[in-house]
Amino acid sequence: MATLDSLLLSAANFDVLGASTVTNSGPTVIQGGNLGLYPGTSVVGFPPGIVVPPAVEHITDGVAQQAQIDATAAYVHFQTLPPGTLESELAGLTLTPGTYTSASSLDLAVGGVLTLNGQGNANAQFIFQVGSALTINVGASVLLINGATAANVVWQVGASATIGTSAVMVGDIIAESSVSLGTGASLIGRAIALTGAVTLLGNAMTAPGVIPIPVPPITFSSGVAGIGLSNLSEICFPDVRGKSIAAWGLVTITPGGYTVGGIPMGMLNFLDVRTVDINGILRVEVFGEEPYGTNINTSVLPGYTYHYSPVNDGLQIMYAGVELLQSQTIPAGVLADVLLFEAQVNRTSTLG
Amino acid sequence: MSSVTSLISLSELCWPDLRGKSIVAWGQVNFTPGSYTTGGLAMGLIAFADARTVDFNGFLRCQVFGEDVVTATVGGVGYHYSPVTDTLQITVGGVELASGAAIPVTVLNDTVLFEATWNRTTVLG
Repeated sequence: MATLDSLLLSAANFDVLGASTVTNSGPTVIQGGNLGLYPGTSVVGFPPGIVVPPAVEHITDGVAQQAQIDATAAYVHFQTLPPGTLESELAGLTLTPGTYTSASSLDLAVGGVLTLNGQGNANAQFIFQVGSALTINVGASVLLINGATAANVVWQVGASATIGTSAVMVGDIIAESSVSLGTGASLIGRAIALTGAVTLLGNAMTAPGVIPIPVPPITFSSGVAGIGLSNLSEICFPDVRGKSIAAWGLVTITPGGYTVGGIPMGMLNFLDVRTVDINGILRVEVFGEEPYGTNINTSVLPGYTYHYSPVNDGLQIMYAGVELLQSQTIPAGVLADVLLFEAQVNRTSTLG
Repeated sequence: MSSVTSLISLSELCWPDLRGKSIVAWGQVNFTPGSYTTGGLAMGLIAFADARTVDFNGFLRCQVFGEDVVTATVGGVGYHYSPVTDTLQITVGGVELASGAAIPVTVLNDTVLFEATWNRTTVLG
């Protein structure tokens, strides 16, 4: 049996889809679906917000346009279903599968809990038809029990949807106007605004069915880290081969802030002072030797990855495939790892 | 879930490949059916190396990789060897296997190789 969110067609590929703008402030993490905007052109706040790969941003392109078309069709579908049980305040309710309707606004009170009981049926569907505004107030929660899934919860909202600070929300929100989330609110589902904005404030946005990747707290440093020449320690060099030389060494990173584009690594100096017999870098890889996971303080696997670019002699650090932010404090997991480099350099300019 | 922990054995393919200051070895990684342990399965690479040469001065790197064709069902498996614990971690879709989870059939059926490099000498520069 198809889930409700399959009716979104291409819009199901999005976790956040806005019409006029998408604006973020704070460490929002979007995973399991793309970030899209159409027909507006302004996406603000990424970074510090991140869209976890393989999800991407589609800004004012044909993909986002089609997603808006499909989302609108789904909205009309849910809006025109026969009305269900009338509700206006959801706090304290435990609902079984079905359609629930409010001719005007629908509210979940501050700190209130709404429980959706799937009654043991993994295909249990919950459809909420809201005539005007949907408000999930500060600290409120929507819980799924007994087989209910976020992929089978839809909120069709005739005006705007507001998810309050620290609220826990599930399901796909398709709002005629806008969708806004308060600080620290989370959504397992989709935030889709058909004519207005999506506004985010440091939210965990996870598409249904996706196991969320924990993202460690992000802090910022006023200092700037550098990997100076003295921070590259020789282990094995030069490993002379036919036309190439290999080198291995230890990379020690100074605590401090990160520089987007890569912190200075000093690899060129390292090589220059050790040999005159070099005609260019072929490849440098940087890798950790600790086990992934608890030993390097990340629950994301492979967690931190590294990319050296000889173009700017810099070392880039990624977390879950996304580069660290400007001035972000170098994570403890990076500092705790045993980082090595393996370099291959060209010995000669003679070809063939 | 399996009650028996999977065991790894290493088969030599090319060893020792002596270079200027390093030694490289290739071999096959064989898994017995069984369960996974979070943090990795004991790989025994250090013992493998110790038994075969006296001429090395420390581990540099080991990469583990599958050689089968990547398809919709054979893919997304990653391997990470840690010399710190001499263990091999297995990830599927970027997520480490759960402790007690059975080693996936795709791993058991794949041709998994390792390429390891050691330092031959204490002489620097």
